[in-house]
Amino acid sequence: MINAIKSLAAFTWNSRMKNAGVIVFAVIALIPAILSFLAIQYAVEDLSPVVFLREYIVPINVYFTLPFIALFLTLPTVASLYEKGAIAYIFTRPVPRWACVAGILVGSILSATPLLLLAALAPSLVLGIFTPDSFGEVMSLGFMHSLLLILSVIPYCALCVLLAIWSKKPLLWAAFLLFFWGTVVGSLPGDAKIWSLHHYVMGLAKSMCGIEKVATGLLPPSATPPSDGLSVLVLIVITVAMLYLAQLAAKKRDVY
Amino acid sequence: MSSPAIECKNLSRWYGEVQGLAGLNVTLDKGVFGLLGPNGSGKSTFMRLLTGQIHASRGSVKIFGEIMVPGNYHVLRHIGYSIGEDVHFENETAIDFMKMLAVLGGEHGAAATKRAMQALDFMGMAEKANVRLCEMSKGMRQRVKVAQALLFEPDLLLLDEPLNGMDPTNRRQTIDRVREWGESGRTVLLASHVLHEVESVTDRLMMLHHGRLLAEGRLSDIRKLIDRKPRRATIKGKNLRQLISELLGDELITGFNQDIDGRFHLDTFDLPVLLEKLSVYGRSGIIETLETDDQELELVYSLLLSDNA
Repeated sequence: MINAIKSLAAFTWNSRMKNAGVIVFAVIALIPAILSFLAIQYAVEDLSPVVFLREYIVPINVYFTLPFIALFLTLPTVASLYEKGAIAYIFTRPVPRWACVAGILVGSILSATPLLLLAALAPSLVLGIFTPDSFGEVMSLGFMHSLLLILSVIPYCALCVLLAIWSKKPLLWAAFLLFFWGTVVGSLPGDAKIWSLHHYVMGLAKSMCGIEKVATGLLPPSATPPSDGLSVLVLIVITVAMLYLAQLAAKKRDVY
Repeated sequence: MSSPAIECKNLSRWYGEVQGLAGLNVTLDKGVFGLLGPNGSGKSTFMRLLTGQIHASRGSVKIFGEIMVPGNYHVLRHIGYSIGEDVHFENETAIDFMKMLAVLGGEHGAAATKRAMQALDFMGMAEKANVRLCEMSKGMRQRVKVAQALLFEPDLLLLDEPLNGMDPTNRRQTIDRVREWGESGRTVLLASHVLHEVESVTDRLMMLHHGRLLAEGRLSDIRKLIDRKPRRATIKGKNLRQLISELLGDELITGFNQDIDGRFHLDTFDLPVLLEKLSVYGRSGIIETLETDDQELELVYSLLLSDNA
């Protein structure tokens, strides 16, 4: 079974990363680095690279880059397999559906990882090179930022895999759940945010990257974020639940 | 295995209001079977039900005695399936595609590569192993599709329109391979909408029409049915009346009529002999066009439907 999961993960990686489309993702992932370069070149003299990373780059990546990469990297792989009917090659093999789903999920996470590393480490590197005094601190924040994004992309990809199998219009659902219900509702004042995955990602962002506020003032992080333990637990539960529901959906959905 | 390869009871499937398959009762054991029917007759629906890709709306299907439903992956160990549509994994080479499927089937490492190469070689595709599927001709991809179905030497081989897009040489080779497979004591079900394709592989067939089983049995019996009915040749030309009167004097023609376009429709029980005679007149320029009802499948269907009615 492990071999089957590895094989499907490799297939998912190949279908996303050995593709010209990966250039678009790389450009998206480089936007924070470009912004960092522009900021350091044209900003006021007292710009703190650490504060800039915390209040500007980390929120950009958590609010936008993370859901964007999870969504557009995962959905097309699964959705096109169903649309073209090529999923039949996989589902007519003696492999349980949960292993098929797990293989695709692992492949999606592995595909997202280098892009998220680029999104998190490249800005730190740019800021660190231009401000050598704070290089160590900036890079340290960059590594925590990377870890945050990689941990967070797991449930995001799991959700996208479920939606791609369960729905024939997964893009709408994913955009709604990741951007509106995620980023927007997850940042609202009040109790609605506890139902949003974004709230728990931001909980981790606060303790791992020290985010207290966002530079733009838009969609600020919660003043009372969940604890690290609760946040990690929610990310794990969501991932397992999505995987379970995805394999049920894979059994239920007809292939034609 | 003691249980029949395929056992369907009242197997039905609807797509919304559209009937894909209706009340199919079939039991198939060893040998090669043809599944014949025009597009939309339910062949692919039947194949998908047999491989657990879709749910039955009613009834059941058993493969070697085990109930087949989506998710029952154990049964799939016995099945090799070639998809009807020309779908493939865009970026994969033939060998990568085959290796991946070999791993999903339970092999790994060098054993998976060896198995993949053996199957490609069996279908005469070993030399193209490193060519990407999207760069192959449709006929080549068809052979890879059949090869992946043969990967684990299945006891039940399901081929949905496997000869589509193949050139005559490849077609001949594939037919030989499939026949060889059936003769080795396994079960092969080959779906096609072309009568002579099925005829070239087997004499035993099932005919589907609008999701229903129209006929089941030996092709030779259906051939006899065809022979019981006159065939028709349609000719058009100049000064055909003399020709017609000559032919009518012969017992070869059992009936004739002329349509408003001036074409003569000649009915006969021995179409080849009539065509031979007409070709002589054709060479002399009297006959300008000659058509025959050589759409055998259509003829078979119309005969069977009229008999059923």
